[in-house]
Amino acid sequence: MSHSMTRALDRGPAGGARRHLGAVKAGRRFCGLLSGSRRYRIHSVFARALNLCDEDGREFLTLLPLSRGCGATYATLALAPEESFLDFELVPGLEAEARDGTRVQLGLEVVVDFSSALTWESRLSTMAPGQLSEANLLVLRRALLETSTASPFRGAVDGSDSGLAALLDALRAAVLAADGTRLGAALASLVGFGPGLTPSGDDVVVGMSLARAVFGRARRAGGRRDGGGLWEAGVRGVLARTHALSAFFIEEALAGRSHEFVEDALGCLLADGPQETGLAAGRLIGVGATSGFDIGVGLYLAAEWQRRYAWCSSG
Amino acid sequence: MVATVKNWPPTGAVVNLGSSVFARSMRDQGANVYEVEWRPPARGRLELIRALDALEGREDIDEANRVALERYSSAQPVLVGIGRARDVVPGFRDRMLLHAGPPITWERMSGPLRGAVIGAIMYEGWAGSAEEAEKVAAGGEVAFSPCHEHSAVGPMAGVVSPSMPVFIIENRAAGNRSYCTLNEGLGKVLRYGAYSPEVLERLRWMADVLAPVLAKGIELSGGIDLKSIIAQALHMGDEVHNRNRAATSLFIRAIAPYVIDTGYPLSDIRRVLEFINGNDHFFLNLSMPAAKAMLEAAHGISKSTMVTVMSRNGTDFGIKVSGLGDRWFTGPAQKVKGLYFPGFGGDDANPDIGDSSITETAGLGGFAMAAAIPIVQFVGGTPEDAVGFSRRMYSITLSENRFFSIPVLGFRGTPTGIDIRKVVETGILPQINTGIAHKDPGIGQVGAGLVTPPWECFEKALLAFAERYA
Amino acid sequence: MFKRLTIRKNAYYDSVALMSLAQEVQKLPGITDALVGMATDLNKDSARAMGFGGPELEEVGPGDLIIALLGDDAKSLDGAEKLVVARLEKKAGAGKQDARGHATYSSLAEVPIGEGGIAAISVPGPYAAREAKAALRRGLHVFLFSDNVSLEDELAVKEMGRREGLLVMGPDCGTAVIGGLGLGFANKVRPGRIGIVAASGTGLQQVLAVIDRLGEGITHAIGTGGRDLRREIGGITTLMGLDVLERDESTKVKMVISKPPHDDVRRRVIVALEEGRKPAVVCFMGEEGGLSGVGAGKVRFAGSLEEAAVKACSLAGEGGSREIYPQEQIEAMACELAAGLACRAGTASPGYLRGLYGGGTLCEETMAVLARAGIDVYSNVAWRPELFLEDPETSQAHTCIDMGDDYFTRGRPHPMLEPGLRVPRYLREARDPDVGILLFDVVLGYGCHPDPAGVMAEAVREAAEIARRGRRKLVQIAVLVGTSGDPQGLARQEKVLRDAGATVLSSNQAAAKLVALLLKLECKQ
Repeated sequence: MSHSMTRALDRGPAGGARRHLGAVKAGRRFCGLLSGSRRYRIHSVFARALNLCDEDGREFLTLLPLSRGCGATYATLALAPEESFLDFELVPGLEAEARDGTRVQLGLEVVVDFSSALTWESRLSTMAPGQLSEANLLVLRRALLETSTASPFRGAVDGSDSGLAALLDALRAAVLAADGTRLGAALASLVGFGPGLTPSGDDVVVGMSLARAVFGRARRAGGRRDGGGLWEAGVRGVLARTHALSAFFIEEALAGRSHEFVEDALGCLLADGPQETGLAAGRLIGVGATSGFDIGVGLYLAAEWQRRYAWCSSG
Repeated sequence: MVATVKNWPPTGAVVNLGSSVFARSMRDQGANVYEVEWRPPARGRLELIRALDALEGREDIDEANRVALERYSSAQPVLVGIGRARDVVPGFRDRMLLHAGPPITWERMSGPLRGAVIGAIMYEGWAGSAEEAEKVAAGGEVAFSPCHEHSAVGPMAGVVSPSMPVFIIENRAAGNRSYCTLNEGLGKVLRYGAYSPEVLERLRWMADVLAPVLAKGIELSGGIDLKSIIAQALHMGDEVHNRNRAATSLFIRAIAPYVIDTGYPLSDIRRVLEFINGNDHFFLNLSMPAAKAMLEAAHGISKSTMVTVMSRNGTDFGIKVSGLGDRWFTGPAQKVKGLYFPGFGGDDANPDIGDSSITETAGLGGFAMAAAIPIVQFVGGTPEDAVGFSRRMYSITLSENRFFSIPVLGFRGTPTGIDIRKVVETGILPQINTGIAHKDPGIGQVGAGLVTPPWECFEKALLAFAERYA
Repeated sequence: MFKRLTIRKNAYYDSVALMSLAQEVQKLPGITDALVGMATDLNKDSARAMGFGGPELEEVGPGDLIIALLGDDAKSLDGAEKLVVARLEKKAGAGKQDARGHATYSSLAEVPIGEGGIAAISVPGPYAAREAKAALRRGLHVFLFSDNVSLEDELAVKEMGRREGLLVMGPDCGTAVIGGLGLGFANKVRPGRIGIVAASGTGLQQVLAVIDRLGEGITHAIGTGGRDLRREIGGITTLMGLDVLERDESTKVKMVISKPPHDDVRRRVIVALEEGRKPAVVCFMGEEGGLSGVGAGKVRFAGSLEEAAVKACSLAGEGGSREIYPQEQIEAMACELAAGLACRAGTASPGYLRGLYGGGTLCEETMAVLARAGIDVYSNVAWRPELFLEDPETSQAHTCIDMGDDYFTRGRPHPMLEPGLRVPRYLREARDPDVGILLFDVVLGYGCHPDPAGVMAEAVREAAEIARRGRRKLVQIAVLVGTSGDPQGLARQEKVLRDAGATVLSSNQAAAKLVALLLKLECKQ
């Protein structure tokens, strides 16, 4: 019996899904999904996050509750605090079916309605980084130090883990010395390091890559057109060491895109005052168990090194 | 002016049609909620809904259907003999070929039907070669007529030529008779459009030996009650369309003693019994005319909405309705969804073909699939599907069969008497179990599976019915 | 000795099932002998032995079912027959089960429900009348949630209901509470003495919420659909409903809620109320209250939903009426909120109002209150053409949107089911630098979203953040319509909204008055 036949029999009244969730904001990368030009399947389901993956297994889209922030590859949904994606019989592998360009059916239970969603605009895309404020950097550093987290990089920030601190310093030195081999070795010990779908080491690399991309944009606008430099090549060289989803986030960061809270933290660091920076840092550090913290570490180090050594503009 | 409200306050039982949100919330409040998985009636088409409304609550129609069903139910199909088609089939004449399905011209015939026509022309000696036979067929020298217009039925191509032997089935309750050729077995056979010398050779043997021996046996038996064999076979894993193994065995039990007494040479008797024994589908050519005899008794009841014919010629699917006389209501024959024999696939398949869907029309075949659960190995799906298919057919039928029952459904009678109103209203099409013919003549069966009639048949029939009786 | 023979033609049942059923029936009190079986010769003989006979028994055959009962009285026979029918229907209907283990049926015809039940119908409009008629034929009262039903169909269904003595609530009936069972979007209300006939779903919910808050309860709240009091329909359901309430012993006060009816129908409704024995409260929304109308007899007129509920409670109870938001309290709230409202540069206004409603009636009530205060409000449901929004997606000046209107619900669920669908629009309004007040309703009850306040609270937080970044002041007001018994938890829902920074009122009229005061504020800076 063909699959479509049995499914047609099982389908509820008039294709009626149990929940019709409103998308509040969506990044531009949802165009492919909505137009049907790119096919996506459910990659992973969490209580408060749902990842879709394209057929090549390389591009990801993420659905989050409104309070969890947006991004170019994110959409936020109006969910109540207790609502969970785990309640909807959604399982990895189910196809996300686009319907009339504005709606996406997930399994039999859920329709996500993008028809009135606001388009998420990146703050960084129009930003020309200027002078880094020391006060903002201090705020970010203090926020990181005041966080109690299980991340192994906690020790690298306060200096209690000299091994990890040395590893991070190797990144700095290798880029400044334009030593691709040493950079590659350091990145290889970092990417894929730690537990979870986005290992801690990956998150640090996300933070650094995003900061470099934003400063690099200024550099490219200034005439240099090297696109992928030493760092970018080094990072791409080790992406196979980690999960597809995490690799995707790193690629996005290399291209200057990340989750709203990450972009916001960097944006505030570059353009706002200490108060805004503190709020943004707090939101960032609250992401995930350790992810926000680790990305914050990457952002902080890259910005600090930029201020002192023009690190982001090197390599 | 103000009417008094009866039955107030309400009982607390609620039926919910539409959003299941409300069903849940009423259940949460402790109400006794019956939930209908609502779908738009008549596939949402308002023109059809108007026609349905016009036929709603009509006692004269219900009464007509009761009469039609009663004639079907009281029919007693008995195998009474074998005769030469030209001699026994009503309306048959020389240079005529009967075929499955609704009327069709040579030009529109599909591969297997053309092959069978060519084979039959050569068998009758109207042409010496296949090329010549094609010319004869195309030249208008041969009349084509549907089996169903001669009280006959034929599986797959269903071609009957004047000198072929046919079973004669008599409905002992009403006296009407029906006819069907003898089953040739599997492989290269005329009904799948094969016409090689071995096919014609077998047909000749069937006419020369099988038919006379069996005819004598039937005569000695005094007639064989097909209805009871079918009823028993349903309890033995057959649905007598795509699975006839039990029914064929029961038939052998019934006929063998008499065949032995026929006085024919033992070698002939032996070959005859081996031939039947070696062909699990032998009984198909008896279940079909039995169904036809029962349904023909129910045909022609004014105002009855019961379907009495469902049939395909490989190009069109046609149905007839008891209250709508001789009119065919047709639509394109569909692709069969199912399992293919090794080496064949969907591209090889001919669209749905054959009169064998007369079994479904009579509440057997796909309608009795829950009785024949092993069949899913042949047509695909799971045992649950088989039960589900049968169960769903109760939504489009007038009644539950009084004689044919399904053990796993608590010996519930098979869903019987397709009502065009119910088909259109529910949007559920009759479920047919069927074989798949290769689209080219002469290759034979390439698989088996499930198919439904095209929706148009029922849509057209309902509109015609409403026009006539609303 | 009473005996009864019932024959069901062409109804075939498995003999084993019938034998066990017959045994079950024989054990019933008052039944001396019973036979339930197909009319085979054997069974027919048994029936004759029980004393049955006649041509009826001669005609039936093995395809027909006979139910032969002997008992002490007619009542016992009734009971036994009912049991047989119920069991047999159960067998025929023994269908599929849904994922949660409840049986589901593929059509109304299969459902073994007896007369006097209710059919709750929420199928698409063009098909709804047909299902409603089928339900009436089955002897069921009809709750017709579906909209987009033509006026002719509505009339046909209601006339059929009237002939059959069955109530047709709807079409487009959002809410009803019958004998404590909430249908559609309905609140949990304690049993009490007020009986209601209402043409508006959310209007009724607001009334139920106030009644609950005042400690009173209801007998029935009968919905009629929005067009029942139009001339074409003539108030069929309203008048039948009032008759039900008049006869109902527990109902002490009757209430009618509707848009202003056609004059002929108005007369008929008022006369019906005056002819009854019980006092009544009438709220024709948009009309002033007071004691106008046909004398000051049994009918009191209310100018708002809140007032109607308060009046009904005072008639039902011994004590006097009390408003839930006295004028002084609203003024105090306005003063407090005004401190937070900065004037826009160069103007003396605190910014525009943007109201996003799920409940259409509440939206209209707000516009009516503001119109009385001399404030023009644009809307997709405005009754003054010059205030009608060209594009429902784009607000202008003061705007209130009914997001339950067709435009917003085509192919989408109603905002009461999915309040989240309002959130993008809410944030768009929050981003408008000219906006100073955001107003929205949160409606609780059965059938509604499980946590509407939770969904909207997220939006309130986000809007506050937008305003903070824009260095603007934004007042956010939530109208929370619900009762203490509602499954969402009234107190919890209120807290969630307050914690997010919204001002929460439980009366829409009070919220509208508050907005009017804020908009009238002179800028004191």
